[in-house]
Order: sequence, then C-alpha cells, then structure tokens
Amino acid sequence: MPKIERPAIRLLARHSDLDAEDLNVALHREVYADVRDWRWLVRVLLLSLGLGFLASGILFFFAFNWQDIPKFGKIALAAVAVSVPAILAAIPWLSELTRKGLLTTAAFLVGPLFGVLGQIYQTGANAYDLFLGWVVFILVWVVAMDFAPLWLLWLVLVNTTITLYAEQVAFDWPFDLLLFGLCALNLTAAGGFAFARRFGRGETYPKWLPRVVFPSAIVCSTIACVWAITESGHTGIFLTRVLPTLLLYAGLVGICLQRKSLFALASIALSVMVIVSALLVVNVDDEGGFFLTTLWVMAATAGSIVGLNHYRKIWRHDEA
Amino acid sequence: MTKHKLSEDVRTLTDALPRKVNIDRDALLADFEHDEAHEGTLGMKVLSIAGAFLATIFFMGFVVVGGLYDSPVAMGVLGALMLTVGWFLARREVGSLVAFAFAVSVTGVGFPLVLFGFGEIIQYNEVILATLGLLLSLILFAVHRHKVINFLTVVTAGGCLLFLGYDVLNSLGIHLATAAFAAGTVLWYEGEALLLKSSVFVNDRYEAVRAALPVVVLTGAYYFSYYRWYSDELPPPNWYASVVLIPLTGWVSWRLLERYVPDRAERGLYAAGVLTLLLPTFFAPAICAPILLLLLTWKVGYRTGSGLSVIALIYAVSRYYYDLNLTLLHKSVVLMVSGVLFLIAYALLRKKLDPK
Repeated sequence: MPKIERPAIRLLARHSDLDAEDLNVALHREVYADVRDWRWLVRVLLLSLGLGFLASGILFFFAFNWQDIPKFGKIALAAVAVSVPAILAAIPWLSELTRKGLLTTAAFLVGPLFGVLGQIYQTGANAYDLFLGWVVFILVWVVAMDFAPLWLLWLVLVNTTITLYAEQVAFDWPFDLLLFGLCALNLTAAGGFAFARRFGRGETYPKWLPRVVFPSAIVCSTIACVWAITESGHTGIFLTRVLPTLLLYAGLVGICLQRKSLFALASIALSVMVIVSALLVVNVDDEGGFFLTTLWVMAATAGSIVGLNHYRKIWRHDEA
Repeated sequence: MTKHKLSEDVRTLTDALPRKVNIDRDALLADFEHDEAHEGTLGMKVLSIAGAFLATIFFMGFVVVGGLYDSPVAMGVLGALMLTVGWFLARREVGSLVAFAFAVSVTGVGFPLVLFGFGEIIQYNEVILATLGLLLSLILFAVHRHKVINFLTVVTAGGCLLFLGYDVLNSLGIHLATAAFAAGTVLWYEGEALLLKSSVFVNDRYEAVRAALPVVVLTGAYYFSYYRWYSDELPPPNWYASVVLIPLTGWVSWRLLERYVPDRAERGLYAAGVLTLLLPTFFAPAICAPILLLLLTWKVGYRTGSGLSVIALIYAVSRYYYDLNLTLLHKSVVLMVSGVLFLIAYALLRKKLDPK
C-alpha cells in the first residue's frame, strides 16, 4: 500500500482537532523512514563511507612525503590499492552491492596508479594520457558491473579526458564546439540511461543517474551558446550555434513530454532563458539591454512555470 | 497528489485513531486545491529561484549601467516599491501562478535595491548592512506565505547571520553561528508535529524553513572546508563547531536507536559505535555537518535534502586534502582508520541490515 503523503498530515494539522501527538505518530508511521529505509541507508552509508574513506586515505598517503618512498614501494602500494578491492570484488559470497562498491573503489584507484607510473618513469605524457588510460582500463569493469555510480565515475573521466585533450593537444578546437561535443556525449549517455530497458536491460537505472547527466549536458550547451554569443559578436553565430541548439531542445522537449519529465523540461527552460538573455544583453546596447533582459527573464520564468504546471496537472490527472 | 488520494490519506489517518476526528473538510479541500494549483515540483521551484537570481543580476546591471546608483533614495524607494508589489502578487487572494512567479522575481530584484540604496547612505558599513539584510529578510519572511520566497528569506537571513558572526568574531563567529543553525535544524526537524500544530503562521512556513536550514548549515560547513591553503597566515582552529555537531549527531542517532533497538545494552553499544565513528571528524566539522543533515533529512523523508547532504559530504572529503591543521600523514591515517571502522561496522551488521 502506498504511503500517506506529507501534505495530508500538514492539512490535517491545520483543519482538524488532531493533536501534536497524533500527528507525530502519523508522521512516524506513514511519512518518515521506516526500518527498511534505514537498513538500506545504513548499509549503503557504511559501505560507501568505509570504501570511500579508505580509498581517500590511501590516496592521501601517496601524497604524503612522496619522495621518501622508494620507487618500487610507490608502484607496489598503488598496485595493491587497486588489486585488493578488485580481488575482493570477485568473492562470490559477498553481497552484490559490496562487490560493486569494491570494484568502484578499485576503478577510482586506477587513476593514482597511472599517476604513480607516469611520475616514476617520467613518461612525458600529458595529463589527458593518464585520464585516457584510466577511461580505457576500467571500461571492461564499467560494462561488466553495470553499476550506476561506476558509470557516473566513468562519464566524469571521459569528460575530463576530452577537456584535457582540447587544452593540451588540440589547441585549435573552438571552446564552444568542445562544449557542444561534451553536450552530445552526455545527452547520449543520459538517453542510454533513461531508455535502458528498451535496449534490453532488465531493470531501469536509478532515477538520479539521468537526472544528473541530462542537466550536465544542458549546462554544456548553455555555456557553449553564451560563450559563442559573447565572444564572437557577429550575427552569423545565431544560425550556426544558437538555432541548432534551440532545434535540438525542441526535439528534447518532445522526448521529455513523452517521458513526463518535468525536471528535464525545467532545465531546458532555464537554458533557453539564459541563452536568450545573452543574446539580448549583447545585441541591445547600454542599460536598455539590461532592462529588457530583466523583463525577459521575469516573463520567461513565469511563462515556463505556467507551462510546466499545465503538464504537471495533466500528468497527475492521468496517474489518478 | 490528487483529491482522491488526499481523501484516502485522510481516511486512513483518521481510521487508525480510536476516537472520532473533527475535520473542517471544506477548509481542508480549499487549502489543498490552492496548493495544488500554485505549488510546483522541485524543478519548478529551482527554475523560479534561478529566474529571480538572473533577474536580480540583470536589473542590478541596469542600475549600474544606467547610473541609477547615483541616487540612493531612488534605489531605496524603487526597491521598496518592488517588495510591496511582490508582496501583493504573492498574496493568496491574487491567486494566479503567473503572479506568484512574478512575485519571486520582483522580490528578488527589490531586496538588493533597498539594501544598496541604504548602503550608499551608510557608506557600506558591513555590519549595519548585514543587520539590515537580516531584518529585511525576517520582515519578508513574516509577511509572505509563498514557499519559494520564504525559502529565500531564510537562506538570506542565515547568510547575513553567518556573515555577521564572521565579521564580529572571525572564525569563531562562523563556527558558533553554524553550530546554532545546526541545533536549530535538529529542533525544527525533530519537532515537526508540534510545529505544524503550533500555529497557522508556522504551519504555512514549515516546509520552506525545513528546506532552507540545511542550506544555511552547509554554507557554514563550506567555510569549514575552505582551508586557505594558499595563505601564509596560520590557519585558525577548525574544531569549535564540532563541540556541538558531534553531540547533536550522537543525539539524533540515539533518538533513532531508541525507536528501533529495544534492548538497552545493545543500544548503548550502537551509540558507542556511532560516537567512535564520529570522533575522527572532530577536526573536520565540514564532514560531520553533512552526516548530521543526512540522518535528519533521511529520517523525515526529505530526499532532496539527503541528496544535497551526500554531495556536500563528498565535497567535504575531497576538500579535507587541503586542511593545513594536520599533516597529510595524519589525515591519511584518520581517513584509513575511519574507513576500516566503517567497514568493520558493516561486516558486523551485515546480517541484520540484510535479513534475507
């Protein structure tokens, strides 16, 4: 049976003769976390804090007085830090969550291992090489474990690799095109996570994963457009950067409506608001531009909220 | 939530009680319908806060570029006018979602205008300006019933108090202010039923304050995690807030244990375990604060707050690297020992946590 929602208790507190004790009992029984919720949290918290703190402690240890550790010691420490959790993750009687957590820790520690190797042998590699190696090396674990936090770690590493490559090697890549590329990458990932079941995955990914990745993609496209508008200043930028982005958003809005995702729609609305604001500030001179933009932002916020509320009502009605 | 679900929820709640409950159903339904029509999802609330923030920035740009800051009286009057318009639009009697959205933006723009107008007159005296910001926030909090505006006013008031604490007592001040806010957050969360029933005024504002308090505490925690690693000065002691944060977290844990662990000896053992796990955070209150908030927000089912706490926790651990009060070796040992303790606790509790 679904739990009672908090607004009912809040409204009853106001419009009934229930006393504080009755409300407290109701809150504890119907709204607050129950034994199952606490078990889940404590399990995840102990495991993730345990592995996370241990991995961070090892990382800090490497950073401490690094010069005094002999070369072999450095490599051995880094290799042990990766291999111990990786080996432990193979023990079958450990719970699935524990094994996945252990392998995520191992994947996280692969980076320091590569850093150590690079430092000792003075490979002369760029930082992006390290991240690229990290991305490639843990890919098999990422695919095999298919664990949401591990996917997120991998995606962060891919984004970092591309950004560092642009900074250190591909000097001629325009900043906005780099961000559009990252936007495309993150959108593809968010789509993959959101539509995983259609691609044959047994169960859906946790909701937080696409909710983190999708806005990241929108942030990339927003910064790209704003950068292009403010840096270039010529009108052609609208046709080559802004218009394609808005068309992309139009397509995304269609998908979001289909998936009934208000959160995604809100992030697109915010992005459009920012992009148009940049256009106004750059193209309308002096204080008039700022004033007009203020009005635009206020109107766009109100309009977006009304639109989103419209769909919220429809979808609530459908659910009922 | 639909009207049907509300009716079911009310019936379930009242049926569980041994006595007849008197309900003013018309008033309850009217309130519910108003809330449903005018309160959005989290995304919509974020959008309206971001919109207000952007509108404020652009309007301040207009003020500066247009040279309006030359006349502090004009700024103050315009700001006061905007706050009044915001108050009018946010009234329930106006009742339109568009008006509500405009109210947030107009209030967001009016607030700094009044402050800067007044600031110009008092030559930007920091303490007076922060006190004025605090008072103005409290007045807006008192006159508004709109959740987003109330959220913003509590966050602003909290920010002003943190600033005042820092301005008057430096590091100690911000530690004291954050500890006080953490204690306030615990009381607010633990006393939900009592507060909801206390008055219509508090009932109306309960959720906004519940959402805003963790933001204020995390702002203070952000200061704790800011180790000024580039500074030549000796870093100030970073443990004052822990004197309050650790006992608070212990107390919240104890209240939970009282509920779920009936055996007294076992409960004492768990409490000792919790304190052992918390003690290493004594010199890193930025780590303890999100743990406290995570427990509180999880307990009351405020998942957005839990997500925020987890992000803050990850950030605090990553910032711990730059703490100049301890050597890297000390920090490494503290982290590794804590990690091992957490894993031992997990190994000991594994069967209880996963009865299957």
